[in-house]
Amino acid sequence: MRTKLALAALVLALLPWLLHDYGLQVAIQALVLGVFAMSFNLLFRNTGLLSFGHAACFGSAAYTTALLISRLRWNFAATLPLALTAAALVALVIGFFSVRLTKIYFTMLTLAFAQMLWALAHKWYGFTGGDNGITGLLPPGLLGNPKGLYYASLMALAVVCAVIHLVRRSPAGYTLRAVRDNPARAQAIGISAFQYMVAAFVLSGTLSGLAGFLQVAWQHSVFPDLLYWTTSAEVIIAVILGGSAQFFGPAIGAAVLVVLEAVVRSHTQYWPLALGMVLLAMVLFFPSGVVSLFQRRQRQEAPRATA
Amino acid sequence: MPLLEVHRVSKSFEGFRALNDVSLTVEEGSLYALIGPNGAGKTTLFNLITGRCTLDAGRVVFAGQDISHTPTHRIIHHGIGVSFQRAIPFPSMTVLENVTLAVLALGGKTRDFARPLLSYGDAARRAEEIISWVGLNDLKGQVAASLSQGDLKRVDIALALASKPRLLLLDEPLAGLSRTERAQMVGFIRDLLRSLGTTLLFTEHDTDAVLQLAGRIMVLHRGSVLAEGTPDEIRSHPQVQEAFLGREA
Amino acid sequence: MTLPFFFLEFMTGLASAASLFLLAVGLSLIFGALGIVNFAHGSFFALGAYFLFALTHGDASGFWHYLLLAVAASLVVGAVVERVFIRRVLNRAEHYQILLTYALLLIIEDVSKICFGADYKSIGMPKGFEMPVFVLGIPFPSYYLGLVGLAAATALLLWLFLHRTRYGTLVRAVTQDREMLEALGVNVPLLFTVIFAVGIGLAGFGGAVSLPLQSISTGVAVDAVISAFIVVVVGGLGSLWGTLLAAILIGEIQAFGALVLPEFSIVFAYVLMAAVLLFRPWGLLGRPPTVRT
Repeated sequence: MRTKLALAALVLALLPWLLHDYGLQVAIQALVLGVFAMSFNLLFRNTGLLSFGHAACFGSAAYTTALLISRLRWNFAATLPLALTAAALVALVIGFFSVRLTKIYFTMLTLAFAQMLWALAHKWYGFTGGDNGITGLLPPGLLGNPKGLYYASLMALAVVCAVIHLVRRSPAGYTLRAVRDNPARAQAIGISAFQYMVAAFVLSGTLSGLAGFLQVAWQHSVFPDLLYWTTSAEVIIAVILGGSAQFFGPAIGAAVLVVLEAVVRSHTQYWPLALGMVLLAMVLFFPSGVVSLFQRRQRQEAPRATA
Repeated sequence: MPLLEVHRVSKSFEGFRALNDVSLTVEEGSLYALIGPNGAGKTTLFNLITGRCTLDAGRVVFAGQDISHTPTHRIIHHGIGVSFQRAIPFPSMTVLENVTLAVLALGGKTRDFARPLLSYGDAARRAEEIISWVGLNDLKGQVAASLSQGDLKRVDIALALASKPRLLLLDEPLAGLSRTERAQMVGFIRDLLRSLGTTLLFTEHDTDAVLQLAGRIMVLHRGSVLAEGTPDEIRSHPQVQEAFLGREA
Repeated sequence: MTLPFFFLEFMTGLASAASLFLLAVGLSLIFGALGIVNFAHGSFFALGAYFLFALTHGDASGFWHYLLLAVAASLVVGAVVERVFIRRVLNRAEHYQILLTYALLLIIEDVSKICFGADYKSIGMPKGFEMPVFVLGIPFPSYYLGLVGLAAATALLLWLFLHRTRYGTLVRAVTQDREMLEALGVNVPLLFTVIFAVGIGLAGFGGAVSLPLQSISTGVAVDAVISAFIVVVVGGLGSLWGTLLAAILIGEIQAFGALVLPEFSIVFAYVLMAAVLLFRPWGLLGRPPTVRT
């Protein structure tokens, strides 16, 4: 496992020197979605909660950055703390109210909150620019340079993975899993599920905000689309496509999704059709995700086995 | 000194009277059983004591403290260990991780998110101690999902013992076990509790096992107390015999 | 605000409500019986409109005849989709059901684009509804009344079907206890295919009859499914009258909300949805679900 990781890290570190401009852009896009997907899975894998509200966390961080730069002339990198705070607050509100509901009702409530935020961004022309969004947000220095942005995104992904790994093997991480495995038993050993699930939601949402910040650095713009429910659907697809039960599954799923889109789009305009067919195939034939296709044995993952 | 006192407790669900004015007293050091046919109210009474549902009337007092309205996740801090029916341990974790988590939960350490679970040396050692009480030392590194039913029950009891409780509450500890496993479990529980000095209150369907294990028995029928006493008294109680003794497989 | 003006807004809201009801009632039925949240539901609504447009080429003279064909086509599509795809995810975790139906949304979107083009399609008023109606001096499309009438008739027919026919009783029963019906020898898989087909047929019908008032393009499906969710959640998943009540509520809120805060009228619907989920998650007329403590 360690050697595989080291090899992957080496390849990722050298990638910008092996790719042309367009390839580098695709790589950055994959990294941004990868950060988003890993963050989403922090919540999904550990609590089983399927949120359709993560676009709200992602998008609110992006809009915070965009608004601070365009309205208050802030320095690009300096907007990060506030962007993360915005994402955290949005996650806190949505999580606090939604977590008490189960399954489909949870999903619907997160969807409702996220759409509210989208509707505000979409219609408030004066403040958010509405449908036209906010454009021309070119970051200076390192983030404005494709190679620099690539490495910044790679670092962000590494940080997110480290955080997830840390949490998963900590008492808090085990607590989450206990609540997911058997809520009644968890209560009987003294765990109050609610707080932990909200905390997981907030952490997941905050890290999604990091992806939102990177999104602005990459696209130099924000549009209400970032907050629309289809963005939440996209990250869910990335996670399930890669495999939610594998540590790096979401990141790999994100990479596969982005590369696939780039390849398909270069041949045809019917990417949604292609994606739809891939999804159908996945749900019907390889529901555990792409990573599981490459594993010779399916084994129960005892946590000590994770690197 | 009575360790647990249930005073005239009642509970209704949408018009259906599940429990009607039930009282019981559990003395320290005893093994007390609640039996009765399906729907008699055993599990409801159990849930009321453990805080899983709220009572409509009456009180529950533990070691002099009123715990009538204490929610489940706080019950353990009073010195009560709980194991629910079909509430098996956490399948994705190993035995050691399961019990260590329970110990940490008691100590309020479950908010920690930086250090690995097993690096909490004191908690892990304590977990190993409890695991040895239930005789599962060899299996402590095994993932719970791969254990047999009988071993799972032992892990479950280990979780309930994490708080070194004065009172252990088990809801149908023998459910889902084969004949031989049941006999083993009965012996195991009896020996364990004798060595720990823990009081036991349990509900059970298997009347034979109950008559062997319990020191005192209460029979519930349709939400009310039908009979209460020692196994001999219960065995020879005419109404109990009529109600369901002998009908048991 | 004067009375005639009020009445115009009211009728506009009612017409939206009629369309919303037809869009959402199939979703409610499908969720109630199969437990599936159909993310492609808006796509089938759009598909009904596309079928009608393709058959009529935008000319409303054969409206009613072609409407029947469009609905029939929707029913067939629904049956095929259930048999081939939906059946395989009925007992799987929610996220697979969501991803499958989302995949269908994507596929239908592009297939529609290929077959019909991405631009807006519309149709004229059907025969008999060409002239506006005047009430209190204010004109509004007489088709508003037509649409409301169709929706009301559909609601009534559905109710009669569910409560006064043997098959309808089966449909209601499968919502409550699937296993018992199987134990009684009922062909539940076939029942599911029928229910799903009817649900899709209703959506297609809704899309087709809404076409005179609301042109269709491929972007409509993605918004429509969210509107359907809102109506169904507010009304109560699986409740017929709940869906009707919610549709009227939301239709009117949007119509009058557009006067008060024109830009944010859609926010009202989301706020209503959130409020219902927060205080009465099972909807105005639905059955209580599990709430975590």
